[in-house]
Amino acid sequence: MSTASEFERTLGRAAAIGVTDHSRTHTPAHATRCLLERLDTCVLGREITMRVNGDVHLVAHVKDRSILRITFAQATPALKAIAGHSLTDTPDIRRDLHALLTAVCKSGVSIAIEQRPLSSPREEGRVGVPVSALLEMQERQAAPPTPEAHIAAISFKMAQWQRFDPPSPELDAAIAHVSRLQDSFQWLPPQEFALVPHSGPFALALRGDGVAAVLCIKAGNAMSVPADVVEALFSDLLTQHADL
Amino acid sequence: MTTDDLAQFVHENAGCELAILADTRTQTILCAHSKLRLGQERLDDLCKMAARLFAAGPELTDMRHITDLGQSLFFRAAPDTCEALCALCSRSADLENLDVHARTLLGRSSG
Repeated sequence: MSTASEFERTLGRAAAIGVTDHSRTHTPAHATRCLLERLDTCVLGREITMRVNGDVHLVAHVKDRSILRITFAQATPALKAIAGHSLTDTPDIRRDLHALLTAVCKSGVSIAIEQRPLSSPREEGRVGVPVSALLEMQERQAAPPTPEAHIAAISFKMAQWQRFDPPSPELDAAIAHVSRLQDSFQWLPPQEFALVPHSGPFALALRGDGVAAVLCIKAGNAMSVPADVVEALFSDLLTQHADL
Repeated sequence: MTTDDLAQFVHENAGCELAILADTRTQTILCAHSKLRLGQERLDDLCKMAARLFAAGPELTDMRHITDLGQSLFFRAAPDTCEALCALCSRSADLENLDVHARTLLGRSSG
């Protein structure tokens, strides 16, 4: 276990390089309120850790204001049931969590709450979370494709364009546009998308692994079509056409 | 556009966590509002991303970057202008409203 001063220095360094945001507090009530607030406002993926007197007492993976995974030094059946539920929709869970946190924090001389994005790389040797089982995120369930959007044409590394929609000058223009853009988006990590509006119903999608596509969007536009729909369209198409 | 405008923008769009107004030419953050306390480097990253995306397509006004954990949206009032509104959102955010609000905000600022 680290001494308080080592712990404080580590947190300070981590905060300075942007690895983690943290707060320190001295009262159980404030610590509990602070942690619940972090859980409640977390919409992007984050790992939130609570330490009491330097020891890790809680590690939660949170996204979209829901707890994906949680471990707690004093695990109880009620707490185990929290994972997978939305904090906003389940006041009972909120109440149970509040009671458990308050009980834990009663012995707290030093209480710290850290958070960092789930996607940030972990650093060896840093005072960190000793729960290796929590490293993997819950597998995201992609939504099924909707009739509001479909892939009009697709290409792998610009080798050849496969058209699914009837030929039209508008589709050709969209293909030419995405072809021009693709070189500039090679820095995209695989599985990440850049989406760019084009004229008419068309939008351009570039994926980090070199797949480029023209999407035909019938409801909304490139800036509003749900992310899960975009990913499901690609996944569906690539499954159906493994030979592409 | 002021920090208050951005605060209202974040508040009115469920799932939007952070909004910044950035100068993509100088890569400077002009103002920002976030629901969470984020390090300056997080804001800088978003600003750099906006600069990179719009450098790739100077003719474009809107762009979107989708990752496993969330999405970033980038708007500017006209092609080849250096001010961009950037929003960091959850994957399930209601982007239809956000799109409209962003254009309204930009329109008001440039008008």
